[in-house]
Amino acid sequence: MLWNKTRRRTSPAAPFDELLGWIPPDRLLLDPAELRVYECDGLPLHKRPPAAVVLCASREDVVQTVEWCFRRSVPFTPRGAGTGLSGGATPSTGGVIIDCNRMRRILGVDPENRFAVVEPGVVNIKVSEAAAAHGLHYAPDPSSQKACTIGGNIAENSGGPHCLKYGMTTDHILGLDVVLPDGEVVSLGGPTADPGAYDLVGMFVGTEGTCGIVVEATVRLLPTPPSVRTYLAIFDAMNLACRMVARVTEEGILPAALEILDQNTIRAVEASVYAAGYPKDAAAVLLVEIDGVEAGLDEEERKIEEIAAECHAIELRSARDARERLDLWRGRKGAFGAMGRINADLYVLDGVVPRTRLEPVLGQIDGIARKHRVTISNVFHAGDGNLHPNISYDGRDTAERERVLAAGREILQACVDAGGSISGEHGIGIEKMDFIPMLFSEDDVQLMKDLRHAVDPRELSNPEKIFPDSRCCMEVGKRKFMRLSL
Amino acid sequence: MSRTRNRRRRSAVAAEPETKGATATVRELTTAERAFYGEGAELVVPGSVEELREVVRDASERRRLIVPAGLGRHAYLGNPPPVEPLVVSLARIGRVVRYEPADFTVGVEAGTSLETLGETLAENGQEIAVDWSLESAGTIGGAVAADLFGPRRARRGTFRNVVIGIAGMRDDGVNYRAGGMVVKNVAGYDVGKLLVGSLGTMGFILEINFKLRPLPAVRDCRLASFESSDAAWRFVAEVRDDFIEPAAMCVLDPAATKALASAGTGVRSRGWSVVWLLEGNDGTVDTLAARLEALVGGQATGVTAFDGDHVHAALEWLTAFSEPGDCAACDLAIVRLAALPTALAALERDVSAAAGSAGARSSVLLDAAAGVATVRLRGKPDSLAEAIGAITSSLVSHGASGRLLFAAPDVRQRREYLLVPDANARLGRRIRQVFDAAGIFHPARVLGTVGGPR
Repeated sequence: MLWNKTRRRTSPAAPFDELLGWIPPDRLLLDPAELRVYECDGLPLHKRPPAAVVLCASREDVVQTVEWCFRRSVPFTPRGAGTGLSGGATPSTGGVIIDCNRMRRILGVDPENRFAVVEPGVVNIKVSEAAAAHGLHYAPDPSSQKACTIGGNIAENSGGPHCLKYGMTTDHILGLDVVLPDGEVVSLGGPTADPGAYDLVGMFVGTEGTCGIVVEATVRLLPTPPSVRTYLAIFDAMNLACRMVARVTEEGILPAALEILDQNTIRAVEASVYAAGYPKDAAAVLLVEIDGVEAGLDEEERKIEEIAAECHAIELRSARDARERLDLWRGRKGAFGAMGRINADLYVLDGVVPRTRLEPVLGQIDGIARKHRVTISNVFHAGDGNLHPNISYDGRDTAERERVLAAGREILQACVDAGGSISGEHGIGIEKMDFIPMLFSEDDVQLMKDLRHAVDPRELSNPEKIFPDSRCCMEVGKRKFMRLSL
Repeated sequence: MSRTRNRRRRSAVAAEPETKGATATVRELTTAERAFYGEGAELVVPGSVEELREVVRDASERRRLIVPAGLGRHAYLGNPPPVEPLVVSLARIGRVVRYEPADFTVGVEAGTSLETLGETLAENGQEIAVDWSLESAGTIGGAVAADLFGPRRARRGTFRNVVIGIAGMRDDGVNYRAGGMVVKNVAGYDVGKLLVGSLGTMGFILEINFKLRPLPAVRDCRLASFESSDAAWRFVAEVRDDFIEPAAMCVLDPAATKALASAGTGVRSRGWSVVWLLEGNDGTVDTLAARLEALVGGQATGVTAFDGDHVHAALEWLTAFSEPGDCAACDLAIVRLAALPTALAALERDVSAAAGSAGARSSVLLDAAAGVATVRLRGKPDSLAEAIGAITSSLVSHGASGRLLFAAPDVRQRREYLLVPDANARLGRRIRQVFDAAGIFHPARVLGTVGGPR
């Protein structure tokens, strides 16, 4: 049903062999068997193979490919590691995948001015590894940071556990070189403050590939905190874990991370290679991480101990060294992988609620799981109210798949009803574009579409994403651009 | 050690949302607005969004230039309009709509006064972590549109980092919303980023939602005096290399130091100086203060610890340095330059030399962490215009950009707001037109030329 809404923009007979004019044969994929690898990203609910895949190795490859797409009216979709969870890298009808994984050079690190210049295919964690020698790091750390790329992070405005204190990807992108949908290359922003008239970098980040392709990014580096302390609070009731989250922030503590895992997640983790020593009978565990100057952490630690006692934590474990800290985090970071033990497929939701509404909304999620007879495991960024209800299912069971989709929709509606949003860090992509009206009016969506059309009037760059009905986009022509006579 | 300590709410129970009614005061055009927009400019102050919509639709139909405004505190920013506009103030649309202390979020109408907002948040030990000067305290909508910031920019960010939701009105009177009321949200385009610093050229900002931070428990602010510019910058480099992260660190040239000393801050120093601010809990501030004290030890000729009200006075002075204040005099111009932090020292030398050779007197405040230099110039109009031109010429070699924040009208007519042309002006204009297809929101205020037919 989803695909019926979309318009075909190109003939199936687009002359893809023209791409060989600048792409060597081994980097142009046309074989249906090879194309199937690219039929979806980390969202397996929606699949469609591309017409072609171009493995770009340079900025010039991207520019020439986009120019060709523009000339031939062929839609294109940028792709990094394909770890996205909302279908943002799912190909469009008859479209080309522009794969940027081979553009993985770190072009420079300026430790004094604290930025790095990287290509879009650089894996997230590689930036921090390159900066580590200078005592610096790149703060956004999605769970997939060992695989996901900076280009994809920029497209989705990715988050991660530590964005509670340090902000999202958008807070760490200083400049972008972007290939616009007609092939023009623009340099937006840069390492100095406010170089342009408008914050076009801020607008571009999070547009999910609908406004062009990043071919170079200037990213902010932050000093690695001198001290880090990590705690694991263990609870026999989820509501107590949520209460502790609220109390920690009320006390004016701004932790680096506040992460909750529920019992289903704990059991999956502990049965997997990511086992972290979480107690299997706990209803919830809360990971608390604080960082900063060592002497300042003592005071925060005292408060955390008091709050844990006040919230009836069964136990508060403290990592004694870096190794123990990594152990505590291993379970959290590996949680999604561990869920493969529950069932063959996983649908990862990404709703957000005000953090004071965590407890009632989690109760609603329980009810929705029972109603639709689906298995849900919760692992989430509690500090900023970003829920990740994970629905395990068997994609071969059509009836179960329908129940999963229905449950997902109800969960996101519950988040919106609680004053929240349908995506905290994964993006809208294909997955949630029909849910956009939960949040925004037609006028709201029209403004965003008009912005997209100011950059991509022909909707060639990653079409059929974000906006609920791409046919409406034609309405942009109704607005006449006039010049004021003075 | 002298400190300021902030109040903090201890109760676990959220305070009731406080809603302050819209003021019924209908203001008049300020002197600054008349100077910037022209004596023939007119003012309307709608009492509701519906009234505002009527005004906008009427202006759109008649293609009349309109300028969104709050209390008119920043009417000097941007290129002046080519014709005398209709100034539309949102000062009567100013409620705190939603305040959720426990969620650390607040939603306000654009006309909410900064003073009201600051006080409301402080009652709960919270703040929007962006500095604005009390001297210029206008409305929050104006502050966002003007992209105000202060000395904590490098550590706390600007409005672009704290706006989580926004509502606005386009030139056809249609409202829109983007973002929301949660601190993490990637649904839809981040429209709010475009409106920060747009100076009203992208239409009206109606409501803004912010994420909040707890007020720091303790603040420690000091000034160290140095014999030379080189000595001051050496100290700054050592602080950076030592990974000490003050909430603010600014270098002041001798003229700026002198001005700070005469601003009721208790400073008696002369010459080059470095002011730093530490924020956090006792342990953090004690540790950092000791480290800085050790570093500055043999290098400074003296260190002043601000105490009590002097901390607030010093921070207010640092923040207000980019404001013209009540000065409507013809002898002042203010430019703000941005460069890499490591390029600031050389940039300052060239800027001061350029000002001097044009016969203008300069005082310079340099945010060493953010890479921002604010230069106040004094002199005759011709000297100011020449100095701004000479400064502009020096920017490219430093990889710097700049904005002319304030100048007397006859200087303003000769120099553009953006000192270095925006390479992406064409794209910027296309995007701006999405909000203003009719071209009524003073399109040239940010991206345009001065010296029109007015």
